Amino acid sequence: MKNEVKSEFAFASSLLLISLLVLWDTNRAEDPAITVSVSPKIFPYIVGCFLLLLSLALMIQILRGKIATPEGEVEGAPILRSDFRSFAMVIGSIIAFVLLVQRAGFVISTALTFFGITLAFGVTSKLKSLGIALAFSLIVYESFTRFLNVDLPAGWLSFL
Amino acid sequence: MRKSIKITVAVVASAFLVLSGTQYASAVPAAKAVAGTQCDKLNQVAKGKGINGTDLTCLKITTGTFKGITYWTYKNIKPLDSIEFVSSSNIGGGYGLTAIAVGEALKAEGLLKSYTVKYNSNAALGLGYFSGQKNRKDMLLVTGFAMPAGLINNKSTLSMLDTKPLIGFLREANAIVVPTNSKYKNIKELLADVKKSPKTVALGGGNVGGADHVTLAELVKTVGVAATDLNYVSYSGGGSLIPDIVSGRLAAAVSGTSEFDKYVEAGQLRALAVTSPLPLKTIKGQTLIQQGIKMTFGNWRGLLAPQDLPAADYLNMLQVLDFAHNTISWQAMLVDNSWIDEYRGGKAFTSWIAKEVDAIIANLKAFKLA
Amino acid sequence: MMNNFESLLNGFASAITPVNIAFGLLGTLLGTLVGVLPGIGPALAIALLLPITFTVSPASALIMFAAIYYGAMYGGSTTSILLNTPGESGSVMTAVEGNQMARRGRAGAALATAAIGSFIAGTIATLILALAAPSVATLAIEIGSADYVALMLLAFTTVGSLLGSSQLRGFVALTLGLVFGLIGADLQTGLTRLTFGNGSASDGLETVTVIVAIFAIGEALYIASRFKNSGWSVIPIQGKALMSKSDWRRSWKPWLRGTAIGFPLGVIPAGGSEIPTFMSYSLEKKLSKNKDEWGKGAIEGVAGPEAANNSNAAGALVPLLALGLPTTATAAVILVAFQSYQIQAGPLLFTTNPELIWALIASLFIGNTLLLILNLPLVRVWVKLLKIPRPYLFAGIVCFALLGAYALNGNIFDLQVAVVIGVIGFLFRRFGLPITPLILGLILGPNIELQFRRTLQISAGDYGALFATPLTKVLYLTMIIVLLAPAIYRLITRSKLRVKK
Repeated sequence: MKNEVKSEFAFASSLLLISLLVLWDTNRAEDPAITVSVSPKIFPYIVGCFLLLLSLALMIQILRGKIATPEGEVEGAPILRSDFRSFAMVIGSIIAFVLLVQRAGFVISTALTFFGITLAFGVTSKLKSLGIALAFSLIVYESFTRFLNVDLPAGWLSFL
Repeated sequence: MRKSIKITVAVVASAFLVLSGTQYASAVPAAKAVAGTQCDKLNQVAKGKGINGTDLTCLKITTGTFKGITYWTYKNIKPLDSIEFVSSSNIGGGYGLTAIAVGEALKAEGLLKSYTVKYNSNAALGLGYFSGQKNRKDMLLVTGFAMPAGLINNKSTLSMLDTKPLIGFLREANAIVVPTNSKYKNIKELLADVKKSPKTVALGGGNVGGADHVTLAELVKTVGVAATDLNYVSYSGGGSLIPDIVSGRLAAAVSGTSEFDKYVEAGQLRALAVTSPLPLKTIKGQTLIQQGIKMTFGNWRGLLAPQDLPAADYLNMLQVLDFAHNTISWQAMLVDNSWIDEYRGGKAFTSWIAKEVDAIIANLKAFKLA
Repeated sequence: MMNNFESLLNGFASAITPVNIAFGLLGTLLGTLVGVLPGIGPALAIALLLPITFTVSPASALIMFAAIYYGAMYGGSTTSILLNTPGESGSVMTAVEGNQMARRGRAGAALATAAIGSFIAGTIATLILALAAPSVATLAIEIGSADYVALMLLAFTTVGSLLGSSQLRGFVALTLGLVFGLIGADLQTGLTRLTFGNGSASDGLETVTVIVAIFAIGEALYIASRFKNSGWSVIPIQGKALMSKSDWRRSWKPWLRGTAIGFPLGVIPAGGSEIPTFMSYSLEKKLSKNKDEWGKGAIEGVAGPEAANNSNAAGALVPLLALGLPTTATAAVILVAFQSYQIQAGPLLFTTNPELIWALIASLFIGNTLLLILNLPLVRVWVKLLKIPRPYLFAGIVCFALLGAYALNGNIFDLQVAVVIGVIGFLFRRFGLPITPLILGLILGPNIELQFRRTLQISAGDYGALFATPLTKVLYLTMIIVLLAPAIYRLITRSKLRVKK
């Protein structure tokens, strides 16, 4: 199997797993105590079965060689390989925000995430990027808390 | 248009209050002092006469309809900045309408700057959202008769008593409505059809086990039909119920009078009956008693504060509401919605609600609705 | 009729206040901005601005949101023409001919036909909206739960089968959206589904979070890992954005045809502007006399789709206002804005909030005119935006998206959802799955379940009720045609080929 086929097949199999998860979760749930005309389990069953069939069909299609064209690429052209280092840097910066926002506060975590993403995109001047990141997060914080009355965590900078 | 009606009602109500020579119009001595009543000796203190045994002081009011006059109030109350009311029904439902009415009344009295309403589809989600937010001093949960059932039927692990109860302040009658061109001319005709074949008469109302459902349960009991045999279609909020009843897809619908009054007035719906003891001004329709059914029903509503609200903030909120309750805007709000003034605040409400929840659940169990 | 006209005039009166005009202006600028920048669309922009609903009056906020919606359509075409990277999904077809025109030094004419076409289509479509929406709203009272079920099923089939590289992938995307819609407590019985014991999940996934994450975070991940080094090359505009006489002659019919295709496909929930723009493009290509010019910059190929996407945006407001049924991601976010003003969109809207709605409709006319006046002269300013270095652009977009996801409820769970959905957005782009069906499935899934159950409850379990009304019959018939259309089309073309041979 070619690499592209392998990776898309893996994606389709994960869809199959999701469908099985839906069916399993629906099956184990107890029927509600109050009487209703249509059980709340019917719709999940339908959706689960649908996804099961569709992901199987997709797997068959992939094995037959009808693989997808990634967005922004030309049909039939060789598929680009993903650069997972950059991917990891972007997702890592985002996860840092999730972990930090309520502890370190909005300004610090946003600046960090901003900086991390610019690094992932290969920014040339790191110092300049850090400056822009700080300015960006401060301006956004001030404008959202002052003008839009949005409650954003101040975190470690709350003494200011 | 609506605004002008509200203003007229407020003016009429205030005129009525002044002319009727009740406690509101003349000075009340310290011994009988109640928050929001008039007083004449500036800075006089009425010890322990306020809510939860706090002191009342005679002060000149600086905002709202009492501006420039001396009233019994609390010395250091701070008007509320902004409040997020949490509603456990969708837009157009009773909880949301109550939140808006209270918010507007408080704003008119200068006791609140701004408010928003967060809509949740049922009691479990409403209380869940409410107790999930931590360190929020600006939230109030609207509660009422429907909440205990909503929590049980949605398998919530939370209880209404996981909050700090503030005030209970109204009773609202329910109305049973049909489309204007419905064949039912009175409540007895509808009940006769329900008795004949309960499953084919689709009846709409709020969430399962709520005030609307219980009203129907008690109503059909009078003709010997069990609540569990009804074809009850539940809706969260009037926004989706109204089209289904106006178009006649439902045979009849039950809900609070404030959800239906506009449509009855516009001629899109007809009220077969109201559950109040006496006919109401805001909605045209006979009472059940007038039609020979000895039954009344009133849904109550109140406000709950977050469990983690600091005692000082809780007391301030309580005192603001306790004062607000006797203001003209608040009383006009009650008149405007045909709500009966049934007020309990602080400790009195906390102990009442505990008993009421048990009573509601026992009643639901008897009807097999929970 | 007269009544509508009067209400509309009143609407103009309340829309033309200095404050509202200012918000309208701000909206057109912001809308064009997000339309120009690839990766953020109007849905994301409005989602970020939802907090203004706490402080700004409903009329001003809704006027601004509508202006953003229309403005994004204009901005998207600029990027398509000058960059060959569609700024948003409705401009994909514009890129095909528009970019070719720009390469041949006709960028000015392409931008002009796009802007003027958008204006004409937007104006005509808004006029139809003004005339039709109130009567649709009156009729909408008669639309019951069975009709809603049929309507949504039709939306699912059109979107699933017509979008993306294959029917199968469209349906996969849709079904995954339905799975996401299942997450949380069932509203009627409280049964929690697919939450796996997580308390925060019982509220379900926030639509806004999903939309923001799948567009912004998904796009950032995709570009970072695959197109990091293939920067943008903006084609410079030569001369003024003007059209020659022959350009006008060739443009006006496509404008009108595009308008005619776009509007009805907005009213029927068909999931956004991809389908109408594609249909307009193919129609113009078929009708064109100089076929050899296609693919090398035929102006009809810009005029038609651009008109179609603007009239489509107006059309999508009909089900939103009259039925409370959002059919695009942007409409779904606007619906959230309605809710924070305690306004329930739907059949009762014209009875309960007439002033607001007419002000909104009037503001659409105003916004459209502002866009025409502002955009052609300002096009060079917009192009400058594309010169922001991509690291900063994407860092800003992602940070805004995270802010939007967090500010909504202030909880970490929404952010965790955003991360997962962002990765899914990446996978969708990588494996050629269309995103619109996923969003539609998420929004309409819980809705269709509710209406399905309600139908059966009112009918006391009689499944016949699902097909009982005349409207349901029409809708199901249309659905069958849509499902079979690609197969029939293939059959016809195959037999034609055979004849030729």
